Amino acid sequence: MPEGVAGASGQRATRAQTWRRRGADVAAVLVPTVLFALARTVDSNLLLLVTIMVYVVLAQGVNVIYGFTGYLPFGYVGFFGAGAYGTYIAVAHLGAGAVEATVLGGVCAVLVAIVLIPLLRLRGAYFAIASLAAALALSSLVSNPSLQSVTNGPYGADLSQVFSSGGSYWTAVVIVAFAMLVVVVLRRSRLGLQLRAVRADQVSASYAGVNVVAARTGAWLLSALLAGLAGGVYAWAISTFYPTAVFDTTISLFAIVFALFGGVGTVLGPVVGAVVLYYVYNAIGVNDPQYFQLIFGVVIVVIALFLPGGLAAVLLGARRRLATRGADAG
Amino acid sequence: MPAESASAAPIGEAPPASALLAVAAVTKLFGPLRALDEVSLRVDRGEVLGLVGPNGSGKTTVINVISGLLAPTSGRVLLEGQDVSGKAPFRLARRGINRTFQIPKPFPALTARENLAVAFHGSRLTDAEILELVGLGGREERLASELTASDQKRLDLARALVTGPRLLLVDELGAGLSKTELDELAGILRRLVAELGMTMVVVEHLMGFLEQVADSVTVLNAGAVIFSGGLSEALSDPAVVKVFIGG
Ligand SMILES: Nc1ncnc2c1ncn2[C@@H]1O[C@H](COP(=O)(O)OP(=O)(O)OP(=O)(O)O)[C@@H](O)[C@H]1O
Ligand SMILES: [Mg+2]
Repeated sequence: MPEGVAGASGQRATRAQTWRRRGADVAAVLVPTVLFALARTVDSNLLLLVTIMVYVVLAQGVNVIYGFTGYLPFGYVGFFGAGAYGTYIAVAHLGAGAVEATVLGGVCAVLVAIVLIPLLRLRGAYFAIASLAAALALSSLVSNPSLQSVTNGPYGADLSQVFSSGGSYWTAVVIVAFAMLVVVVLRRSRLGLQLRAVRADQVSASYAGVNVVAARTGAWLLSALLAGLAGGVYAWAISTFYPTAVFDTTISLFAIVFALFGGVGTVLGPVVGAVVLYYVYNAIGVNDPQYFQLIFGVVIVVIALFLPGGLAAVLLGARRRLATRGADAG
Repeated sequence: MPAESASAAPIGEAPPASALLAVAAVTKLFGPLRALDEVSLRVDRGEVLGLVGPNGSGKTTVINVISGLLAPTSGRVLLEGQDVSGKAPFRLARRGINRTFQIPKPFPALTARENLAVAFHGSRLTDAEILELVGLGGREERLASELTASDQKRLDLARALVTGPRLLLVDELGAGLSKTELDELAGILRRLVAELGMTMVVVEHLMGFLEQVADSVTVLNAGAVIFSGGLSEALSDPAVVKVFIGG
């Protein structure tokens, strides 16, 4: 063989790796999107499908903020509710179309997140509790009767004038694609790398020139955007709702459990977690919600104690063990 | 590097333009503890200042204050005559001050290459050249957590170098290294000064190491400067001898 082949084949190997990685990224965005787009042919309950997609997006939003920064947002539902009400206000008062209104719902959640940036100064349980308190405060603000002219206060929002089960379904599919794209790009991006560094060692990251506050704020706003879009499309799909329905802290809890169960820090983990657990919930939980919350509570404890990496870690671990066994045998 | 213009400040106000770093009467209190007591230092461009003193005398605190991890309780840190006291490390890193840690602090779950990729890039050297320079060539894809203690120190140094520091603060890089490794490291620091025009403050207990790299030394005791001058004069200064041998 001519000289230099070793180097060239080495290069080819890395190029192959690059292509494989790109392929995996594209598949991670396309496969869930296409599956959800096709889902309507097997399950005609479009509201159920939208709800599952909403949880996929929320779980990815938790992935962005918790998986990349370590902030556990128990008040995550605040952004969801802000998105739902932003969408309602855009339709009812600005005369926006449903799709634009959904986008404005996302913007509305980002505005709330901007106001709440100071919460990022808190850590651990203090942050978790403060974010929950912020969500409760937002909820009582929205449902305050004196804001009836804006939010219709406690009497609930009505979006039936723009109702479209197909429209909200396809918008949800697009939002799922967007959420997948956000996570895939974030993982490969410089910001993603910086956030991993900040999580590992804040001081070292700062000396590396990383603006720790700005990097965390970026993740915070992105995760708020995802929750806001999810809230917007959910509001559109269910058409009429009370404040308590879109500021229900169970929504935060579900999103966190789904993300943790599937595996934060991975691209597909939260999707699998949301789909599997929501179907389980839908099969047994809706009728007996009290048992279901008990089960979810236990799932959180078990994951926290035994499976910090979620389902993804179990699967990756099994693959690695198989690989080493194969290597040992060969 | 662009040519630095001379400071327009009146004489006596700012140090001469050749002083890259001036620490002016910095005091740092930790509660009742006076960790630094009116410490003043000056490091000229291209100079290597050795910083010595017994354990707990405040050497690391000096580095922490200069590099922005701690704000001084009083006094000022001047970079090229400009007050940079209390600016965050990431801002100072971008302005050309960086440091290594007494106990290295790489990002354990990232590879050596990723550890550098995270950083703000201000050096004219590539990451590969920097890894080569510090002696980590061929270990780019290792996780930092898998590196030996000595290699983690090299990685710490490399990450600081990526940001292109004009002023490098080195905190006990030599501790725990073999004689061969020490000589190699001294050679690396000398190259940084000679080839990249770097200015340094080097904290070190090992006099043999300082002899190889430092132009002058400042001796701290209990947070106060007790000597500034040449290394050989320091070793014959009665106050210094008393601290190191009598204390
Ligand atoms: N963040 C802090 N909070 C409280 N006290 C501190 C802090 N950092 C340092 N100190 C105290 O300040 C004094 C100086 O510490 P410093 O680490 O600067 O000493 P040093 O000269 O680097 O010592 P060594 O040779 O052991 O590294 C010590 O008494 C130390 O305990
Ligand atoms: Mg020290």
